[in-house]
Amino acid sequence: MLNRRRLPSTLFGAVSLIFAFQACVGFAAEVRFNEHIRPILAEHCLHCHGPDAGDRQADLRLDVEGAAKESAIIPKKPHESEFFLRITSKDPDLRMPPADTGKSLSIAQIALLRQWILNGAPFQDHWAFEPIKKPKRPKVGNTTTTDIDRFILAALKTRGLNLAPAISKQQLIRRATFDLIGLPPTWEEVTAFVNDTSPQAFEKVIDRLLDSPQYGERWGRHWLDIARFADTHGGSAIGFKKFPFSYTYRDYVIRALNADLPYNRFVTEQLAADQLGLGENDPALAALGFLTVGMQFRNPHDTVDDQIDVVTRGLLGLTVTCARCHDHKYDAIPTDDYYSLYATLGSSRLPQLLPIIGQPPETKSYLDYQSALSHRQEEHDNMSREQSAIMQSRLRMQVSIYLRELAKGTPEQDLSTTFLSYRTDDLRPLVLNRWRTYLASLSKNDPVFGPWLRLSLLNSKTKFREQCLELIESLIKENGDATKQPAMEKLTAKAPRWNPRVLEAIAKQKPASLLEVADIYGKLFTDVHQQWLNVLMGTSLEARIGTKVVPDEDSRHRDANSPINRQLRRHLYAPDTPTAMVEEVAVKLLNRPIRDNLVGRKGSIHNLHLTSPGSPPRAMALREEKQADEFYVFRRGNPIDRGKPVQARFLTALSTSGTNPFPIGKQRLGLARSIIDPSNPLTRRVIVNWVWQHHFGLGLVRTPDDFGTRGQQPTHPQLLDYLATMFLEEGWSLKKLHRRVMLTDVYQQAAIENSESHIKDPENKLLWRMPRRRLEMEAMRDSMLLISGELDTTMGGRPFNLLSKPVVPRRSIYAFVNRDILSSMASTFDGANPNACTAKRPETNVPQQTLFALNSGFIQDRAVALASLKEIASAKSDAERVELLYQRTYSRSPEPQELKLALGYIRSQKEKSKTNPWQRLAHVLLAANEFVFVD
Amino acid sequence: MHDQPHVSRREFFQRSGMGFGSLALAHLLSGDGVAAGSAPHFAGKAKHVIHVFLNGGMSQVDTLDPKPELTKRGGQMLPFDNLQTERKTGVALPSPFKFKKHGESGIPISEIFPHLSQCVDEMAVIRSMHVELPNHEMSLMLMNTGDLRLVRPSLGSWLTWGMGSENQNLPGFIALCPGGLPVGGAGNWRSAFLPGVYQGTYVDTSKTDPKQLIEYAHNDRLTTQEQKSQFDLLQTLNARHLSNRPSETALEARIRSFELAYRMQVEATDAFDVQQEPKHILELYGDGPQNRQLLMARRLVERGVRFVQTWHGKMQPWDSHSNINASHRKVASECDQGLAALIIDLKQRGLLDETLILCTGEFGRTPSVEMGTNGTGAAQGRDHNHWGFSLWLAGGGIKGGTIYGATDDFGFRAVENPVSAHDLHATMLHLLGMDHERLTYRYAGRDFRLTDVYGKVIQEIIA
Repeated sequence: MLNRRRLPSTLFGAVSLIFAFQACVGFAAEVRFNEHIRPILAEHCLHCHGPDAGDRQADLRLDVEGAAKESAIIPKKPHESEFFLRITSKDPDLRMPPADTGKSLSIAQIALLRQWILNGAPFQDHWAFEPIKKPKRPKVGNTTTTDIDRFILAALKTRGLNLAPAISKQQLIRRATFDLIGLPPTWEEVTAFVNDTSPQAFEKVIDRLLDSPQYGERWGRHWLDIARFADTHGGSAIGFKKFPFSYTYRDYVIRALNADLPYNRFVTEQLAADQLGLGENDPALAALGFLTVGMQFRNPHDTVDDQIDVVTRGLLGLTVTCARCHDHKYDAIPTDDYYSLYATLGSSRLPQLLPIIGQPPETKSYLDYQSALSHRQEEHDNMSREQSAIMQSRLRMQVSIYLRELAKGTPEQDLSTTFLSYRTDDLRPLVLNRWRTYLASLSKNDPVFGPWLRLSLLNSKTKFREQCLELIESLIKENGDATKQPAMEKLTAKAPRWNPRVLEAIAKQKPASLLEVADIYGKLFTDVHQQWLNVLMGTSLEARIGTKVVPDEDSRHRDANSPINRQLRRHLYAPDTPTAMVEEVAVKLLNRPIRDNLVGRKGSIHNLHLTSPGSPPRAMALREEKQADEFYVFRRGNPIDRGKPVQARFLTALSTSGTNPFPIGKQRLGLARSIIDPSNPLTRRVIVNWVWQHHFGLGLVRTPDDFGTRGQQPTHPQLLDYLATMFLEEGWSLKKLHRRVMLTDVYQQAAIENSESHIKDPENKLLWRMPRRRLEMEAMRDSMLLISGELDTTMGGRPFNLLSKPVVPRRSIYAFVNRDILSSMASTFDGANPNACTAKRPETNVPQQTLFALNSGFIQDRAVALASLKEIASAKSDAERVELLYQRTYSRSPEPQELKLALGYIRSQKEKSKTNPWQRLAHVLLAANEFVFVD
Repeated sequence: MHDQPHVSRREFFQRSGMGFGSLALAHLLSGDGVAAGSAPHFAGKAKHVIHVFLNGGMSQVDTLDPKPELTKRGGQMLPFDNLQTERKTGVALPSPFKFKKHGESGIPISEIFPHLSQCVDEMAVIRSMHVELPNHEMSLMLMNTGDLRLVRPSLGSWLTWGMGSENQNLPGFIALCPGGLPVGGAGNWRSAFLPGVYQGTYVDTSKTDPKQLIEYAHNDRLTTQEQKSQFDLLQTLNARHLSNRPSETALEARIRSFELAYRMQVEATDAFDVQQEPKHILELYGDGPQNRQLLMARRLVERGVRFVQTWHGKMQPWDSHSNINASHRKVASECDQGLAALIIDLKQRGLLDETLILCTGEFGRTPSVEMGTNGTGAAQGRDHNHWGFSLWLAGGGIKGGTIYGATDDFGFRAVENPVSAHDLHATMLHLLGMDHERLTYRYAGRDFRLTDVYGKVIQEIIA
């Protein structure tokens, strides 16, 4: 490995070697852009010479044919092409890629590039963005084979390879059963299949398994990997950690798969069930958990980013989130596209109270829950309402703090990273931002803030006072003579053009800087607010019963009626002003002890949802905000550096007929429709690849979440398109796809090595054998429980604790998933990362896994239960007992040698022990390779 | 015959939880003895890290960064607006502790570290650390993973991924914390998008029976003899199974893994059993879980564990919002002896050169007094301070007796040679022989780095 790094530097410039290489490989005419050239460009060149305009060097772009051939590449003439000269230059300053990138081209790669240029440097569009076309079925001899096998065999034939022999029926039913339901077959099922000699025997098995409700539990778990499913908020969330209703999404997925909901509908519901006109308690609303069960970040930008990631990587096999900060380095995903998706998803929120799924029966526990809920809600709301009013009232006394900051020129702060423990006298950055935006939105002719806005433009260094007074004087003049006005208590009184209280205060104080002006305004607003509180008090007292009526235009109502005061008060109380805010916002600003208390009240509501026996299931739904904020590109991902405004629309690269904005109110539905549009080249390829991957261990595209330029080419491009085509023709049915894939020779071949084939195709790309599969954590655990006779097949509902003792023998998909602390079982056995869409789990092999097999209480308890099963414990002889253990555990009978080994072991064991020898034998069978690996 | 392994070496290392730089398994795989100890990018001095986390935030002006000006102005407002921290702070609060210069280098350390101060000539003190926010969890994430908001792999995960473990019988990355989890929990040692095997293995060091410390390392139902005969049967069956499926690497690997696991049962229990140490070593480290787990850390790195993190205790024991005098004195006294012992002990075993010790909090504390909710500083505590704080490193190629960077006259903000968490990470990787710009992992179409796009190696503290 270390040698590989050194290779290029020692051989660089040795062009003769390139020729030698070419001569022996002899690929002259076979260089294909997508297969050979694009990966080299992507890996070594496009970082600086690709789609990202921001980082592009030397104005050279190599991913687009026209641009590349403008100067860098001269077709058929490598030695006149600057591109080729630079990659072969001996001068380290000229050589590409530059040494400091740590990347260098191998001799083979240079040879390929040279040949490609000699061939005229033809470009191709990236395969994954090309439309899906139904390919012709290859001809392979006279065999009456399936379409899928034709594609496989044709590819094998080009390398002189063939499929491995078919596996035995016993092995086949075990493989198929694990594949479709994540459990082993019973011995009865095995014998029935072995004895069924009809040609449809295997089809019947497949249909039975697809009809089993356990199919949804198996494939639902695969889907939950994509959906980065967890039952907790995760990491930096303050407050509540558990989702009370994540389970409703999990159950939705299982239901949808069992019902074979067409995949296009499945996708649509998960993105936009609330925009399909379903009833408000429709169970399909739970589908929106796909977007909402992700990690709850402290700020909305990261939460939306996570949603963009799960949608694009999970459904489209594209890595779009790179474009959050810059245009994608390798694929045609500009930053604008990222923020268009941001606008699509960022305009939705979870409703305050999540919709109940279905109609809960009026049981006592439900009624108890309801009354506790309304009580706790009331407790919370009352406090929230009052404290929010106090908060706003206090902010109106503190205008000067904020104007001072603006006068100082304090830059805007990214609120997503503010976390402060407030006291009454602390500045609230959120309020500062509100003042900043508010003042920026006012006209320079605003009667109250007009003077402020004009004064902000003065050069504060020189003669501020003089310039200020000059301005104020001129404004006073513009106001003209005030004496002709009716008295201020008269309802007909009018305010002059510029607010006289403002002008007077400034004229009197003669401020020397904008900071002092801030104080003047601040003091004025303090007075205005106090006066108003007095007005409310005074005018209210007049209404006491038995009090003498004061006429409306009485001079005692001067403060109340004055249009001058009204001009000022407008800036404190009108709904669009900085200190008038909705309760939801105001409570974020409360002093820490009060906020903590309020958070506690909210927590008690949350706990009720979480733990009350009568708490009905609710959908983690979304609702598009009626008046969503405007959305902008955030330059370099920085939310306070706003670029141009964006509209909710789809990715340019995938929009065949222009990118029209999604309809307001149905933006997510627009997104879903673009994703499932039959002309979308990715969606179907990605899902059929996913299904293939879970049958074969590896996808036809081995980078299932990256179909972009840096992902791998499909091993069988035509087969991939064939499957994608049939998938559409068969109504987006996943179950039909399973059948089609499993009823083939390639699926039913043995998982055995073949040294000759191995040399020709060491990665088994052409599938000359079935890859060997290891049971995932869930399948392993569930199978042990099934074999030991303990599996509880109850479906759905709230999660259980995977590690609880005694064990809860339910299927693992129903186990609680803590986003931060993976259960030791999940982390030891490569469980999915619940923080991001996982299209392929890592496969590790560490001693912790085998330690678990040797020593865990879990496996030993299963062994005890298995050995104690009535049918086994009551066997007529030791030999029969071994036979039954084998049949139950491995779906086969022991061979004579194995029987001998087992019996020998039993006899060698002393009976005096904490455990009995049969339990220890059962333990061995569950721990052994034959249990964990599927043939 | 075709019994060559059918996976690439790199792939094999990764699947086995070994780093691609690791060589122990290369040996096992190919039998062609490769010299141990070379790192992926260049020769680094350090091979192991002991990361001592004083969680909650150690006050720099009370430990490593004496400020006479603060004492002079005690009780007065600082000559500038106090920087914004989590809570409001008021007047200058002088350190209640005396400082003295120690060793040949004359590095001053306060009286609350009487033992550690004897080791200053081995230590490099950075006085100009800074992080981004005065919030525990986010700063912990930044110090441990290089990102304060997003889910990223921790430093220990990067290292074990990059370098592997030298001992297959023990996890490569172990987090020790007595009595429970720190703030942020397992997020501090998570592997995020790196495979799960690279996440830290948490061990509760308040437990004393070494057999209980690591999950599944011990079978309490079987006698040794029973386990032996059971194991023999298991491997016999596995061998039969393999013989019908020749050359299956995955099957072979699990058979080998069983052998490793079987041996590990003994070794893991041993590694955590500090009672096996002689009396003079136990006395050198002193009593209490903090001192004891430092001894445990030495036993672990001695056995080839790559990264050991020791946390002072659950939640945030160093978070002295009130009574800095009593509270800092208490927490320092719980680990002072062990920290000094760790340096001395590693040195006398010749392990200090290859073991990098980092001792830090997630941020420092304000030199000004924290104003309680009643608006006074009567509680005599200090708030979180992310603007400037101190930490120290020792061993593993660190230039001992060094002071790097400085805060202002009051110890509030780092002003000279400020050091970010990314710089610290870059420097640590460098000491371990890795270029922080080249240690990358491709995930979701992007090459990720521990230091993202930041980080500068601090050459001045490297020997």
